[in-house]
Amino acid sequence: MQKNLSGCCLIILTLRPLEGVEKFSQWPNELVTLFVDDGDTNPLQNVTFGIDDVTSGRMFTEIAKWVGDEDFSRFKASMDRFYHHEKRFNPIAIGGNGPVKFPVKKIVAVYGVDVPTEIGYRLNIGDAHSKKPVILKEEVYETAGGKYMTRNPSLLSNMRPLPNSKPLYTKSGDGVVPYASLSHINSWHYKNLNISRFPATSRIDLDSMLTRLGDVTNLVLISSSSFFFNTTRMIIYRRTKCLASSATSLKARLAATSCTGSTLSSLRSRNTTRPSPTPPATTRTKSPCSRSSRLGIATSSATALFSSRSVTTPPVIKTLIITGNIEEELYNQARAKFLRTHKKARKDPSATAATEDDLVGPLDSLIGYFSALASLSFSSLSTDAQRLVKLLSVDTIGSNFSAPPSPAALFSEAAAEFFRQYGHQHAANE
Amino acid sequence: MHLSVGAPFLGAVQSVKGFMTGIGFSLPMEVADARLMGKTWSSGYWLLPHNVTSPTYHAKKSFRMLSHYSYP
Repeated sequence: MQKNLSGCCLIILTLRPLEGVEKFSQWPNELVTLFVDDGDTNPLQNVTFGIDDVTSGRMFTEIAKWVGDEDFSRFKASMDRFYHHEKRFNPIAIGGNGPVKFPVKKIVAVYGVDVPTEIGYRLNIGDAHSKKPVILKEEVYETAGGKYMTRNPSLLSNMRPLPNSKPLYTKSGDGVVPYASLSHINSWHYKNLNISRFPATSRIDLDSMLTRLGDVTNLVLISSSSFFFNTTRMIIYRRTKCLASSATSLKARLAATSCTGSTLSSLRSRNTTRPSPTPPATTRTKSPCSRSSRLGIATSSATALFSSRSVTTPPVIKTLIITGNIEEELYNQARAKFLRTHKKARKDPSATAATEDDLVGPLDSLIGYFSALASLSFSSLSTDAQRLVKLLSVDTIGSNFSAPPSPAALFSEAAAEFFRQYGHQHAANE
Repeated sequence: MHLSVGAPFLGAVQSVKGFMTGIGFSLPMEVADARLMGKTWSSGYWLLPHNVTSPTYHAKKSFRMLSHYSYP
């Protein structure tokens, strides 16, 4: 006897595991890639480490072999001591189940998604027994939609898609924590679930941009927000010694941009002969950094109080302290640029959120201002610092102007742009 | 009630960067010094990205992901 099944719907759910889940892994296969140049025998090869290599500590052991730095061996020893040899509690054990559901009735999880988040790194070998045994070459991001993008850690570099990459998820993390880690809590709930979505805007992260700029130029650029005062941002501009590998790449980049010493000398002579909108650095040395100007500038020099193994000569720290709310200034300029480009957004006040791309122009002006001031105060220093300044003005500014005729013209243009905006404020405050 | 805000349940990849090149977190210090300082903190290893390899876990999670179209 056959039952009449009309009016009854049978739905068979064929559960197809998500891509990557077949291997029972929540992370991409290539988490860290180390590019090794082992002389003539192995010109260039890459060593790839996955998630299990990171968790077990094998990555540190392998990198210690390639780099020859003892710190990575100590990482592995600490990891074994506090985690893998700890019998009572090892949260990073291979084959573990992750954090289990807490025995409470109500669980609330709040997290952000679809912000570009770091999901992997590509590293180069630096100088062993120095402060930088490995140098960051590229960062791999997961972006909205789960696509993997790469970009070098310079300031104004654009993301480009990672070839031959298969995204594991359709979303990305919150900017720091990847989505694989945030979504672990979804293994706890059943159907009794309430989901609420709230739109959010991401603020421009000036600190990370300055850190990236410092990595490129081998300088230290720090924006300290509310560290000393509420309305003070401080940027430290410090000269450090170039590492050997950085100096090699520096020469290559300088040769690529056809930057010669004659343009440097012409820049210096121009900056010293023309009437500068800023007072000379000797007068600024006397002025303290706690001036009440809106964007006052104070420079000071000091001998380094600490020594580094990689520094052979006594290092001289040049400090450029900028007081004033730079972040707010930049944000206002970025917002004005956003309003200019998107005129329709004037009607909608909620759509006036500036993004990182809108900050490119104002930040270029600030970098040009750094370059102008650095060329004045660094003119008595060695050529390394001047090359760094030149590299800064060519690479970061020149790539974002439409018609770059020459590095010298770009330099003066960027400096003049900043002086047009802030020069009158200095004159008024003086 | 348990409330988590952006909790890194399975770690974050950025901690690997902290062990490799250092992260200064915008403090007035060099990132290389931050790396040397961070290696003395044993709690940093807890933030290394770790994996859940249980097939049962992935079956449960993938089912819950597919059963909710508005999966966050």
